[in-house]
Amino acid sequence: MSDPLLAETKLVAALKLTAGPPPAWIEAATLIPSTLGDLDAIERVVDSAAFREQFARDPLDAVTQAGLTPSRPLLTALRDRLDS
Amino acid sequence: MARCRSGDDSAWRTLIERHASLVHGILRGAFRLQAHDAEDAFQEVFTRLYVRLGSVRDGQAVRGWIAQVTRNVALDWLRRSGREVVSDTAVDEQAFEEPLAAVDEALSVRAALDHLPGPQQEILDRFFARDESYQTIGAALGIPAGTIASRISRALAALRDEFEQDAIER
Repeated sequence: MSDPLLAETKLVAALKLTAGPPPAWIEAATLIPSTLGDLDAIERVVDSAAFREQFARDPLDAVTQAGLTPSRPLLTALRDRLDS
Repeated sequence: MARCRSGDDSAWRTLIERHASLVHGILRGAFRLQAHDAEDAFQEVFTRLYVRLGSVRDGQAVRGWIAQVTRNVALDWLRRSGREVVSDTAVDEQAFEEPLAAVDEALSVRAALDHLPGPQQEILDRFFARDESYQTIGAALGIPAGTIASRISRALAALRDEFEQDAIER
């Protein structure tokens, strides 16, 4: 960065790019563990072939039938586990 | 990581706070997701991270792992939304290599900022990252608004020196 003006322009762009998310995003993410609940329960249901079939047909119904409380993080977690 | 896995809420919060700028920078800066999409994707990233905590070894390069998960979530998001699609199923992943590198370099600048004295960090963060006015900054920091410009200039010069020094040491 030999040109000071160019260097400072890049630094300013970098500071803007890494400003970070609004605090509310972070607060919401801190609630993920409590929203997901017991991770062992997630592991148990994804081990069930019947659950996997039902989840492919109707995710919300599969979750409810499994005794879990549907939520966006839970559906994300289940999809992630079933895809891996 | 072990504390996160054992259900320590404060450890989980620390993990989020430590890597929020990385995740946000990739989603918004590299993949150009709109704010509402990025907000949902941000939650999706940390949900996937939480579920996979058990698969991460302590000492593993956590930052790289989080960046990879974020990149995958962003690509999934673009595929689902039908943007940046070059065929029915493919997203041009190569197109994001340069923006991802820019995010990486930007995070190096942010790391250099952390080495500056607190007041210099704060004035740069407030002015450039939070877009606060001279008046707002002056009122918050208890300094005359008329001196803000020169303080920003000095802090920016200090950041440039610090970043260049860090680059030499890397």
